[in-house]
Amino acid sequence: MQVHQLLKRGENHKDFCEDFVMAYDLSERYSIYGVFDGCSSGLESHFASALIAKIFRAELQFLEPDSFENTKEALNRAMLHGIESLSSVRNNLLLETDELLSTIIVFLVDKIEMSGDIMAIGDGFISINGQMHKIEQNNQPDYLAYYLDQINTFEDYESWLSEHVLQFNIPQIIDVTISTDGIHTFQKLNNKDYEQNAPYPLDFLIRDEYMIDNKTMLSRKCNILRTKFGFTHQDDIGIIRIKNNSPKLIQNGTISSYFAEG
Amino acid sequence: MKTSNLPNYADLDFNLDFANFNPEDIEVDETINAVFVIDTSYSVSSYINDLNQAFNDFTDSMQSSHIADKLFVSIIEFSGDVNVTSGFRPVPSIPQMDFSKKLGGWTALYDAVYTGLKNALDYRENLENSGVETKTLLFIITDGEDNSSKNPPQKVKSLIDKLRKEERNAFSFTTVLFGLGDQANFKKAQKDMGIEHLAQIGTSGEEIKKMIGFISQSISSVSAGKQALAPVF
Repeated sequence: MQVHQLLKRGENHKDFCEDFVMAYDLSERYSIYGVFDGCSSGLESHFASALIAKIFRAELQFLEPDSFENTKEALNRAMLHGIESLSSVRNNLLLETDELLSTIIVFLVDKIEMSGDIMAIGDGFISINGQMHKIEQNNQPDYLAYYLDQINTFEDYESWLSEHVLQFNIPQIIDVTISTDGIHTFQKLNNKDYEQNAPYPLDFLIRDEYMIDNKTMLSRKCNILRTKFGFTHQDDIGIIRIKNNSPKLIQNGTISSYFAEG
Repeated sequence: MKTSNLPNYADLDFNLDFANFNPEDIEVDETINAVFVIDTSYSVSSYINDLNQAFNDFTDSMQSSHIADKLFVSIIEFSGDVNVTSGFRPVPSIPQMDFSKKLGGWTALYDAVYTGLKNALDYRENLENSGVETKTLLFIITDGEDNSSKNPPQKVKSLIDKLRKEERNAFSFTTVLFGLGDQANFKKAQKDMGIEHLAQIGTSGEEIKKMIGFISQSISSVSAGKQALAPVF
């Protein structure tokens, strides 16, 4: 399994990158990945995205996903505990709602089964084995922080989960990407010095196989998009791309057929 | 290890093989490329041991530093001939050097600088094309004036001028000429080749150590996102 990650500040953000990327091995079997996009009109949103990521990671560490039946159950339980912890931290640090505004996309991976579950709160982008999901919320993400005071019981939590959270089960990971919405903000500079036959940035980053074995693949592709083709991303970008490079999978032809269909 | 596509040097007939490290095998997204153009004419015999010592201390310390994985070094030795001792290689693969092995009688300074510079620029372009951002530092260490180059110094200058015209290169490319001793008109060489900085120093072991110390600091400074230091001795 190859894990590529990228975190880059956008052109429109002068001081801070408000996105955050999380990649953490919980055990031999499980890993947690996440991308978080702090709200630009919130307060010190780089803090919100990093704080939420670390709280969520800690909850999964305490819970030990190996003790759950499947990744979905572990993810749901970690989110419940994460909400409790976030409320507690908010109270302890006297934080306001607009200091906790960050989107959340988390992906719990079972590395043995090569399966997993994704949970998305707010906007962003997910690509599952070639199937792309642009989570669009008209630039007004449905942040978790809005609901902290409303989730007081397990029933509240279940109701919030069904109404405000998107969940994806992935029985077999072939090539999966989770990203903040910054991935949609590439703009091409109108300058004849740049090469004209430019790739489509989204495809280049999440489908193209160039440098797939290189751990800096995403960062270098971003550099190529900028220096060779004049593309810059206006918003911050946080991307995790997970590629299953199991020889068995390649032997079965699954990867080539996926790209042919994709 | 694979070699990159070599630039066309047919017109210069340097018979060189740079064997630069393949950009696609690099596992960082930014490199510091340091080029050493080192005079090995007979006149350097008096301080060559100090230079060997200081240079090898430099590679030792860089090999264990936090920037080891992004520092690439190329070494050009010259007297009447120009010898590419090493194309750009990661600093951990740079061996202990002995510059006394190729001592010769003449000083082809301009040819050597042109060779090192041209390779640095070609490699820089290859790296950029594969998504690696690059900062380049060219260090020239000589104690004499040119007396045998086939190329005029203006050929070096035109390469540097062309590079500087592009805004993105302004802070990512530095050239320093270290003039050792007082036997040559280093200012003229600096001006004719368009080299950014000139540092004139003595040939004592202490001063050579100081020069190499400055080079280390300069590389660390560039690595930290600052500009290369201006040499003051």
